[in-house]
Amino acid sequence: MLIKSLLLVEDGIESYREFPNGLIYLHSIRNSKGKTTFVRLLLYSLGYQIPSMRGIDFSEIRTVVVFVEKGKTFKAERIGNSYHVTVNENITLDYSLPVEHIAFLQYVFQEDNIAVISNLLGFLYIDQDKGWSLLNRGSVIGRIKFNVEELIAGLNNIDISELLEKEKQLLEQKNKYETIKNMQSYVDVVFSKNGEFFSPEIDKELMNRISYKKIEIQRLKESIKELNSAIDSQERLLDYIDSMKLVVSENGVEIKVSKNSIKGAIPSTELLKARRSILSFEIDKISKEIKELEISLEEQKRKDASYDLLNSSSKHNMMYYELNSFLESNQANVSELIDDLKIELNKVRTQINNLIKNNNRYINDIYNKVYEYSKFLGVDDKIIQKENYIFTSDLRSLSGTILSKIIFAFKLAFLRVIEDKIGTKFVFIVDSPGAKEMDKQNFELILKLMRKEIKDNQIFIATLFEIQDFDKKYDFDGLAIEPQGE
Amino acid sequence: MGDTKRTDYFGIDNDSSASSFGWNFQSNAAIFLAFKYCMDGLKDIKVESSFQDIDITMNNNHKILAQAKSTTDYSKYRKDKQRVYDAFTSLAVSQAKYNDGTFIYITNIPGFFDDEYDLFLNKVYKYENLPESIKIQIDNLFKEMMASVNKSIVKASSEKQKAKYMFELECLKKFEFSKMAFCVVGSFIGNDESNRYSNVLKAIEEFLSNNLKLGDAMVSRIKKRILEFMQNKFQHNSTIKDDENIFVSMKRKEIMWPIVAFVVDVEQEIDEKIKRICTFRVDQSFINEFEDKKSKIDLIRYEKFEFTSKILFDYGEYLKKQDISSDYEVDFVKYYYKYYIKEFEIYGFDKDMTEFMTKWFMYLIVLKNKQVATIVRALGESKYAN
Repeated sequence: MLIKSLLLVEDGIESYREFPNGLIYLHSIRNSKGKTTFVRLLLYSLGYQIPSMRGIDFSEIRTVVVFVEKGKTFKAERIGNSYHVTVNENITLDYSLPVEHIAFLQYVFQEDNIAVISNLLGFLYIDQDKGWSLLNRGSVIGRIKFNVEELIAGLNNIDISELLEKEKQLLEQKNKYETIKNMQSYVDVVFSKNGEFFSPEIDKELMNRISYKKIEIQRLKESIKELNSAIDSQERLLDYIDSMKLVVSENGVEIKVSKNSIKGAIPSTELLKARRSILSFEIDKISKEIKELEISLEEQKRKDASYDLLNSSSKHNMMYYELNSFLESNQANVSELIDDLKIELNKVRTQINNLIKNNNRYINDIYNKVYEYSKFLGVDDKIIQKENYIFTSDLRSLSGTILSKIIFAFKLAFLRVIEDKIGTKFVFIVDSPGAKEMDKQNFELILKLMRKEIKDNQIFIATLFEIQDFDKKYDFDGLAIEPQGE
Repeated sequence: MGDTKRTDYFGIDNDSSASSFGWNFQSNAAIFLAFKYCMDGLKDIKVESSFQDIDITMNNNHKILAQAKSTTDYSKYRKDKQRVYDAFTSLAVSQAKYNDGTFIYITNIPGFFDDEYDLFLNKVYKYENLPESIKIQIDNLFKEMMASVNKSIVKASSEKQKAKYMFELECLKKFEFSKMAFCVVGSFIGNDESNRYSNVLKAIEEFLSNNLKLGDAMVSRIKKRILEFMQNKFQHNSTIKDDENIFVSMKRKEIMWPIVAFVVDVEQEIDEKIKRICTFRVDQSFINEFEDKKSKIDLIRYEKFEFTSKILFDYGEYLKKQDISSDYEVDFVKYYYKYYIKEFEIYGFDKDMTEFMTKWFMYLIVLKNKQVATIVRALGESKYAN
């Protein structure tokens, strides 16, 4: 993609800029907002849902961007959420944003893969705020997300969006139930402070114990399921070996290969089965304990019922009773639900992992580039030298310039691998590397890397630092939108 | 079980419903006998089989058949002869069917015989070792029993009943005392479980320390769980109707492998040696983080044969080397962990955590394998101990 020009119109003031291929240097001496506003408006003009900056409502700005992709010239005009696109001056297309934005990008890049298309911005653009801490998953800007798992799976044409959606829903539910759980203790605090007396402490204690035990059972059942599948797969493997009727021979002695003659095979299976029977035993044991507790609870409730009749005159008490009984009837289940959700979450995450990591050459490709660039930037010793590193969630050991450099290496690696995959040259937009602890020397280093690695791409850099060798420079010592004398 | 074997050998059902205490004693007595007396070479244990209350078969097909008699209040029934008559008659009938066997009278009631003291207390005591005074009492008891059966034959109201008594008499006459043994399970009374099961637990404890040579700390951690596990297996399912074919049974492997699992699955303290072979400093906060992360990984994956066999193969090869140190388990992990680190990288933990996980789980696999081998060998199953 090559961006040819951008026209911004606000309240009749027009601001028009043209861009050649190569390095476009967006500069200001002071740390004004002009550069960032401009960069964001550029993305906005491409249809992205970019949040407005303070004092500037993007929806009031008309943008017209002209760009070339795969030999076609696009002219896209955006006013609010209506997006009017002209292709090669003869085809016109109208998109309604934000819902049709993906469709627009698919059309532009002639790429159907939604996972790839919807994650583009995550590596094409480094936002001055969020960009320098976004490594492989999280917020790019506003509500635009980047997710390495989705992207990598997408590259291999595996759609994990459903799983990711499920993961998201499970997380939301878990948060919801955790809130309910917290509400319970909040209600308790409020009412004990008001000096109201309420009895069902014993009930609550019993209910808690019951729900803990139920959770425990749930956990055990889950483990049994896992054991079952382990036993199954192991037995299948051993049966298969049995069925092959192999014979090994050494020094004239022939030994039939069967599950009985394979060293360690029987003990391993028997041990798994033994564990399973121990778990069933524990479930039996806990179930019995639950039954006993439930009997005590019933008795306690009968006592409470007669007590409440005497005490329900107070309005506060009534209200509390209502709220409490709602929460309490749920509370026992809530803890259980939270735990179920956690189990479910783990399952979904494992599934996602397995789907992505199976036979995916892109992982290797991206990792190799990450490594190469980290080396160039002098931070190769800070990354784990294994291809799975691109999925890392461990940023704890990284900080400041090191993190910024590794993030830079990641973006560039994704960019290079994915542009090969969809056959294009992307625009690369870097906003204010200096804002996040990066000094001049390191800035020079990333600049050098860009010049070396993506010299044929169009690059926008917004920075306070001096750049010597560029293809076009714009100064922003005022507003983003002011008439440009070209 | 207060009565004679419930399934009558002549088709007359003289079983009254089993009291839960009786059943409880019966299954605990079975556990007691198994651990105390015959775990080596045991093939299976049945409780309430069609032959006896407790029916143990050994690998050589020798049978150990036991009549279990119990009461919740033995001060009342200490000298209750009817109970003993019934038990001995039942054992005699069993002997007529299974000549190659040991026939045990097991009870929670001490002091039935004069001068018994605590002769049978928590021991399986063979007839031939009994003092003469008790042998005489047993002899007299059998005479009384035969006399009583003779009376019953005369009084029998039907031919069928008569035939039954005649058969009993025949069995009593032929009974070989030398195949008999006695046992009293002490303190098996009251609702306090720690007291009621104390001697059953002790039998398990002795087996674990003497036969399996497990250390005290290990024994005290697992003995109660083994007992509860076995009790649960033998629990009376009251919803099942009495029927000749319904009994509770445990095969050798259903007892043996859970014992192995109980031992090897005791949570291991993180070994200092493993901390020392890490390329970074392992402090308590790291261990805390490890404990937290451990819950996120699929532990069963590392228990599966497909995985363990690889490590154990390498370990075997490593042991063949000439120059291994005395700390060979740790050294093996130290030199070979790089080949397995890939298996642990899938979780995306950082470099240190991945290294530690790899080393620790490899070490556990080697350690557990050794434990398994030791235990199965002690259980007389050397074929599995490789």
